[in-house]
Amino acid sequence: MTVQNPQEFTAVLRNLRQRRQFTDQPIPEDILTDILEVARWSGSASNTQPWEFIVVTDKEKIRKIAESGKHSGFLAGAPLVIVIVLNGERALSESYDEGRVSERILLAADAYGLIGGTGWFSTPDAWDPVKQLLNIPAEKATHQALGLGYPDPAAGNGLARLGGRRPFNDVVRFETYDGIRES
Amino acid sequence: MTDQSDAITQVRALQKVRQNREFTDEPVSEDLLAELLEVARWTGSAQNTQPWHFVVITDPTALQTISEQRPNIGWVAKAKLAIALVFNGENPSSELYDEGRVTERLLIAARTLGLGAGTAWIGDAGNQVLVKDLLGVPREKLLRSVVVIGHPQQGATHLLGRTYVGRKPLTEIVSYGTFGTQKESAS
Repeated sequence: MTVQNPQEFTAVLRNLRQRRQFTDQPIPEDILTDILEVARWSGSASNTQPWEFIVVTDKEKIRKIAESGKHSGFLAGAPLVIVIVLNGERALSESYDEGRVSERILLAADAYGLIGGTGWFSTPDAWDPVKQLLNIPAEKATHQALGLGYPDPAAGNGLARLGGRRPFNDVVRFETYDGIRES
Repeated sequence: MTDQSDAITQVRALQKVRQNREFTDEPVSEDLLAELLEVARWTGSAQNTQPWHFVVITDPTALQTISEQRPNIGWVAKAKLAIALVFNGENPSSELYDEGRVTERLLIAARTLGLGAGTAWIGDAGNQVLVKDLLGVPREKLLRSVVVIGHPQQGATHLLGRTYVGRKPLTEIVSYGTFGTQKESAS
């Protein structure tokens, strides 16, 4: 990807956070399609593309999805939800691929001025109702849904609530695990 | 980033980010490495646990040893830089999801900076222990993959007998409302 000013873009990457308070404004079709194309082109283990994406805009369905998980309530306020369906064949490698594709979707949304966050269905109690509601075959795996929308200005930019990160020398080592670089 | 045409350009660029596995001999500069590490450090993780350490590897002998752990990661030996992703090992599934997230940001950042990057999986538990020992990583930690970064070789290809070249069409992977439901063709 060629960007005029790479450092400007890496700043975008550093600053991207999940945000969960939306307005009711719907997401235009052309923007949605472009974001779905990003999802479609994400990398996956041996290019297996072990996923399907269900786009949900029906308010009542979204409300039920939001009620399913312990940490998915915020989805109720989203004008659009993308439920990620995985093949359910290789739990660990699909989990890694799920992380990759989620990251790309959130980044693509950010480029369009959208915000988004992940709602989790962490147990069968949480994911079974979602699978039933959306006619997802039993053998498939559904762990999360991404809520996307435009940021609610009344909610502020959310930055005040955002967590920071561990210091550089705490997470980065050089050559060996104890290789802390003095700077 | 609200200008629509800028947004489209940027999103189209995201669609083109692929893995690179063949690099030139030119090392990655300190400035670019610092950018990459900051991107890694600021990646989101489950409840902001940041369950990771990043070990920067430039030592050719270490890269060679890593490249010998699995038959199809020989390409790592020729690289000048790899970042080992070390995880706490407390929650293998959610940490693997986070490993996917941070890897994706590194691949995208590398591409943005005019570099290329690819993931190498280290192999089974035995291989992982060997690499952990090599890098002085405590054995209770998880070290499953390294992200290899460099200046991409022009015209390199690595289509290693893939099931798919390219991607499945949108109609095959996207449903509207319920699983298997296609969008009505009315605009």
